[in-house]
Amino acid sequence: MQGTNPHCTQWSSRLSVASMSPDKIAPLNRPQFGADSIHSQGRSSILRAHTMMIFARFAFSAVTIVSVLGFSLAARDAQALNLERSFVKNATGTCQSALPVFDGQIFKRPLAIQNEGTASAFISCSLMSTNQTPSGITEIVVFADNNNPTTPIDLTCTLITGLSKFGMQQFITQTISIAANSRNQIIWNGSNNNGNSFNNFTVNVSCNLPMGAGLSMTRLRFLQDVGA
Amino acid sequence: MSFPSQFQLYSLLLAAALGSAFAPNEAQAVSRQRLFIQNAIGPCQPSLAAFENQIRNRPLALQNEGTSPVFISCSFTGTDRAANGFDVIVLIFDNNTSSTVNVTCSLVTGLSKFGTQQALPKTIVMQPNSGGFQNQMFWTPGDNGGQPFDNFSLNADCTLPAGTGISQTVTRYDEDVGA
Repeated sequence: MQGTNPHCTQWSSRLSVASMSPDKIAPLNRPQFGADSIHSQGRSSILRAHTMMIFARFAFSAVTIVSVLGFSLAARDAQALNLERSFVKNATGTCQSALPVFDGQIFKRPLAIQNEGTASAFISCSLMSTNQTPSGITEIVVFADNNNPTTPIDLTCTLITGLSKFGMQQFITQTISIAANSRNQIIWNGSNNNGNSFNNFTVNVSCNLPMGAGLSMTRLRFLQDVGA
Repeated sequence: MSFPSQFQLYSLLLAAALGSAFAPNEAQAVSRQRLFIQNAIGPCQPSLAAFENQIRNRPLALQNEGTSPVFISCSFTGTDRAANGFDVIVLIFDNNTSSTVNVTCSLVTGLSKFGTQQALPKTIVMQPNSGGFQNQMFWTPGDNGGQPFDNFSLNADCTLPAGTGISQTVTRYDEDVGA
């Protein structure tokens, strides 16, 4: 992603200016000032040589100034960094049962919110997010457990972005299999969104938890401008 | 122009350029605005078990689907990166009824049984079948004597009338991102 950042492109073009050393450029403009050539060409030649020498010095000065200024400008842009950030929270902090009818089945442990009943239960989650990112939310992950000792399960969750009664919402459903007494994760990223990050900054998940399943952790990733 | 004077000129130009390169670095010791955005089912819950039966926790909103008001409590994420505290707290509501409805909340700051707590009540009027940015309730330093709010303990309680919901919460602060 950094490779497509316009700041990086500008920085690269400025670096190419800064890397032009006088040794590489000046010889193209520098005249030959041997003593034999001066004596043989007379006063006009001396004058021309002197003019060219002044021009060469001027060119060298200009190249020096451009190089140093270019370096200084490049240094400023180099410090405008985007770093990857995450918001991580266990599901008990972000999720609740969707309706009171499911409350009797749900056990809210610090490490997981679990369905300990005998039927499926719907869980709703809302992840901490931010719009202070130059490129949207890049990844959302929900970690899930299967506490059934012998039976594998399928877990279905839907990512829902957007604001209630406003604008566009987005729904992306995924199902994963979790082996008995094991764990797995559901990941939403660019591959689920036509190669794009998620630009609706309210990130929510609805899961249909089978009997014996639990949600353990939620994670959201994004880039953030950390300034200078 | 002799070589020594030209050398001096180069030195001056070099010093000036390097100076300009480093001086902006200090000027860039600035803050970046940050937002915490979370839909209400993350930070909010009914305040008593008696209200649970009326609440539906949708991914997009926590709704009162009963026939009487319910109290909910919310607690928002704090951070030690907000050296100057939070300067905006926003709650967004839905009115799913065909009537005009008032919703009242209090921003509550502070730690239980420690120091000073603060409660700042607000009421907004919601038009029938409205939501999103039509129904925003917000607190700013103007509600707090010109001062930003506590950076660690921001909370709210609301009375949700029947047929209403709380959809989104937003808090804003500035983070010092250094030089």
